[in-house]
Amino acid sequence: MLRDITIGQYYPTGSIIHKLDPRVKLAGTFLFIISIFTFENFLGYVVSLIYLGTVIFISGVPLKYILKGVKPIIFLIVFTAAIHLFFTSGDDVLWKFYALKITFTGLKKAAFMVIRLLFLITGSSIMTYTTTPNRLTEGIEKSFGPLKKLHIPVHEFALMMSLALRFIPILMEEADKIIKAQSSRGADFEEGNIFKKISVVVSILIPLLVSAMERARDLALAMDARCYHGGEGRTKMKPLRYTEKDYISYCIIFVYMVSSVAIGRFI
Amino acid sequence: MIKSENLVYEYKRNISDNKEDRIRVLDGLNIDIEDGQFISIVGHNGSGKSTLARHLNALLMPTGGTLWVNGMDTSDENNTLSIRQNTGMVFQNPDNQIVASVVEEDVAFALENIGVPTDDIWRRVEKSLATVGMIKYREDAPNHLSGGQKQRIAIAGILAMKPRCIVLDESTAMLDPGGRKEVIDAVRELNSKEHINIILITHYMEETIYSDRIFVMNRGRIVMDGPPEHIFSDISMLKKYNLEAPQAVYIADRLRKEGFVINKPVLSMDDLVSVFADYKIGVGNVDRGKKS
Ligand SMILES: Nc1ncnc2c1ncn2[C@@H]1O[C@H](COP(=O)(O)OP(=O)(O)OP(=O)(O)O)[C@@H](O)[C@H]1O
Ligand SMILES: [Mg+2]
Repeated sequence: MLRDITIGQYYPTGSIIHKLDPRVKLAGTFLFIISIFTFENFLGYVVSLIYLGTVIFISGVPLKYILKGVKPIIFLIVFTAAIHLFFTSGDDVLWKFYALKITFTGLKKAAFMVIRLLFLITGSSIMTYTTTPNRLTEGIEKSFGPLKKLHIPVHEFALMMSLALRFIPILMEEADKIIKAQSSRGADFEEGNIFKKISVVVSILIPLLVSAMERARDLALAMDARCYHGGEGRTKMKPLRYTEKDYISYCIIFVYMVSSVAIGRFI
Repeated sequence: MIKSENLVYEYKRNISDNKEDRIRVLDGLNIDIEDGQFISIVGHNGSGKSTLARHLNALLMPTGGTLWVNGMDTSDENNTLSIRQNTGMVFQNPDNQIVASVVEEDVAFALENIGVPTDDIWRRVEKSLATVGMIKYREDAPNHLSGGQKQRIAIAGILAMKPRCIVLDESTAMLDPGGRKEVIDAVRELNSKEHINIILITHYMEETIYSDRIFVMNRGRIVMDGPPEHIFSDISMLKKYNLEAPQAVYIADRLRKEGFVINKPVLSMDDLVSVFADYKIGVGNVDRGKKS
């Protein structure tokens, strides 16, 4: 199950999209999502599709890979579409069966919803496919940096995220070991009723939790020993610096926003 | 330079609701370590070795007495950051002390914390990685490295701060023999070439034989202090503190009891081999004496 979730996985191809500053990609993704929720006609989505298709093409990430990211949420898409399809009121009824009816407005709304969700997922997964989690974290820290003035612990959140990313593979490996150890003691992960299954899961989670706490304690000590004292006065080995291609990308994003919203809303 | 006067560390333990008990972990330690020395600290479990180590870079502060690191009083909080730059610490579990997902970024962590400019960070990271022989792996994920390599990364991370002392608190305990050798070789080289003070806490006596001095700790006190030849010449005393000498020492001891005359101190298997070699070519260091 965990293997199906491809959002958040990095797919290196060395394309120019991969080399962009993470802040550009964050802003681009954010604005793209806003744009697709403002359109009132299908022409807007045509513009979005061309734009998204071009970005995917340049990134070199195979389409098959990107569509795999949609799989886990197909149910959600179908469900939202169905609700819009059957429960939108209107006079332009196309089909009626007792209380259920499909109106033209409903059909349009459902289609919009499906397109929006598909674009939302593919749009954001192209960001995570082309950006390493650490660069993304840095981008988030830097983009939200001004919030520090409001005493929001941006640096701490970013650090927490990057530490979590560092320890996920270690804890996964450990979970694997615990599962093997418990199976060798006769724990059965396939059979039994729901309560048995829960108790088996607990028998994995508790040792995992204990070990995670131990690691956290060690890590805090090791960070202290290496002079960590908060974000104040910290420098960076790899600070984010904009280059020409980043400025050009901002311009492209701007042009896309203006043209797509103009076409999607006012034509 | 590290110096302490009557260093005491106590913690409180609740026995019952309103009764407290004070447990003494360090009981009036007096140590004096000169720059550039290689010190080993041994002692059985719970003798206070880790507690002492944590005092050396101000992760813990004394509850009594004073400890000076490089002339700075560790109980003064204004000194804490300089002390931690001066004295680095390598811990036991290699995984739990690596903070970044890329080797070179982990080595840079301490430098980022103390605010070193970016260009300098790159230079110092490269130099430290080269010193511990890990430059090839600079862009790798630490997860794929061996335990010994991870510990060398941790050493590089400290080295980048240009410290005068490195404390290793059982840093070889979780490694295989190959990894242990990697780490010990790395710190021995740092000690001999860069004159960095090494304080090695370990349960493996074989690792201590290269040190200038060995401290034996027992119940929060230093009970023996001297060069390895001296410490390991008194097996019965070591036994009293639940410690064992390296294997070679016992073999040499048995041989002496069997009547072999071995004139030079034997600490390692290499020493033994050279004793036998001398014996074979009859240099005269070893004589088969007559038991009367
Ligand atoms: N703050 C504290 N709270 C509770 N117990 C403590 C505290 N500090 C130290 N101890 C106890 O003091 C004793 C000495 O601990 P320390 O870790 O220094 O020993 P050690 O020589 O490093 O042992 P080991 O060889 O097992 O690592 C241990 O029994 C430990 O449980
Ligand atoms: Mg210890």
